[in-house]
Amino acid sequence: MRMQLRTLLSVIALICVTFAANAQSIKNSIDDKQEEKRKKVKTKKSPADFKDTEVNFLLNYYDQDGDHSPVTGGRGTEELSNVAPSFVVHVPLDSLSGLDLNFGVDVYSSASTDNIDYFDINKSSASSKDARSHINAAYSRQLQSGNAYSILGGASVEYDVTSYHAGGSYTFNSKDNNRSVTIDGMFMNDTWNLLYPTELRTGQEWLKDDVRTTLKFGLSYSQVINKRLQALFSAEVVSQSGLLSTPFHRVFFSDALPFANDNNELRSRSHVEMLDDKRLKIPISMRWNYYLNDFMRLKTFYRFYTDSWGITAHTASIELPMMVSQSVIVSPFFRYHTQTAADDFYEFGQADATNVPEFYTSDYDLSDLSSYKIGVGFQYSPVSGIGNFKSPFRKKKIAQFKSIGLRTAYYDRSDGLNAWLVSLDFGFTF
Amino acid sequence: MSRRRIKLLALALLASVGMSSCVSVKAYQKAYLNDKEMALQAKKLEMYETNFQAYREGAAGANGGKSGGGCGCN
Repeated sequence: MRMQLRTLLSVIALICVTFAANAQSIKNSIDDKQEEKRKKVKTKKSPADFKDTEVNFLLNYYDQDGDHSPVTGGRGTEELSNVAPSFVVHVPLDSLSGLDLNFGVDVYSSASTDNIDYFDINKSSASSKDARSHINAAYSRQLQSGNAYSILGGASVEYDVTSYHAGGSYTFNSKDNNRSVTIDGMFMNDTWNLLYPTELRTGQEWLKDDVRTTLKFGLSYSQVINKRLQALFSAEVVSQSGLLSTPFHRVFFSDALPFANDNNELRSRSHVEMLDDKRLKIPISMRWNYYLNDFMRLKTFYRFYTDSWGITAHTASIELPMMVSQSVIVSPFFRYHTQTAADDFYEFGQADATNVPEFYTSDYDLSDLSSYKIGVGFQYSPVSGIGNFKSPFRKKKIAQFKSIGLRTAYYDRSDGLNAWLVSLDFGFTF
Repeated sequence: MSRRRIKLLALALLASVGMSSCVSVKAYQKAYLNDKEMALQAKKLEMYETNFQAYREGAAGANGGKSGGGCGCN
């Protein structure tokens, strides 16, 4: 009996100890969890602590027509349309740094690139449509000194061109933030798949390079002039080398003139565009923005351009943003551009077949021309936003549809090319 | 002196004259300058126009747009 009682008491004691130990571990676990919860409560940021990520969805439609296509030697249709959706995202990483992303695709159809096989009897339309995808990313940071720097990189791909670029900038800001100086540099590399006009695909390599390299160095200086006026002065030096011709552009010399309407004869007289493998460009520009009154601002731009190919150009534009209401801005604008021709530009049949020049092109983008662009922009951005909705990315965060922008313009060039475009911008914060 | 050099010098002088009449503006006096329409850079929507102008004209650059590279553009 005593043995059984002892055994029973031992078992009971064992059970009690087991329960007690378990309870303590459970208590410890509970304490740990509570402690963790407390820690989480202490360190967990509220939605208000996060700065808003800004996302802009942009959409552009562009339509042009002309009659000097370089694909057919400076004659023929330049009809082209392009649809370009893209996203621009700004992510604030902290109070001093941010990440900017820009990605999208250009989907274009072009009657002129469809004429790469212009002289073929059985034409295909494989070249008439293409899509170019692109992505760019930039990291920027403000330093304790008040200066700032950024680094960027990106790439793009289309059927016959693959490109990538990388660069950076450094900005010196004055203590009163009334002036700043920015130096920037960029490297770009384009690799081409050399697609010659079909009648010139004889196995001969007409162009020696398939890579285009671009180096850009820029310097800009911004200055607050007074309480209503500030200006920006920019200068760049751009050096390009390698493949600067477009492999599927044709040029016809003087021996083609008598046969201008005879495709059978023209077929044997076409040449691949040949341009210098070096080009140095120097654009210099100024911007002046003036706060006229609470209703209107004045924005002006002027650029002088010169390069080693002989082109000298002047470009000027003016824009008048008008605050129709607190939420609506209407901005009419006008731009004028004039340029001299590149030294190696020849119209159809103009280059001497008996004394063939070293370089030649019939690309009217490099011709003596003037152009104007006129248009208007609209922006609707109410203070409290257009609409609010629950953020799909953060709990208890309200996302906002902030603004809508629209910009449309008509462009006319003196050689007969004209274009119109319309762009939309939908702005969100998350 | 060539005409090109004269033009460049005139541009530089114009810029320096414009900048020399500057006054010091305090941060609290910048209400007009901080207006979003006064920003010294192109708007996001303008990038499409900057791009096609770089393709369709021989001149490009110094405005935030493409100076080279990419697709069929010189």
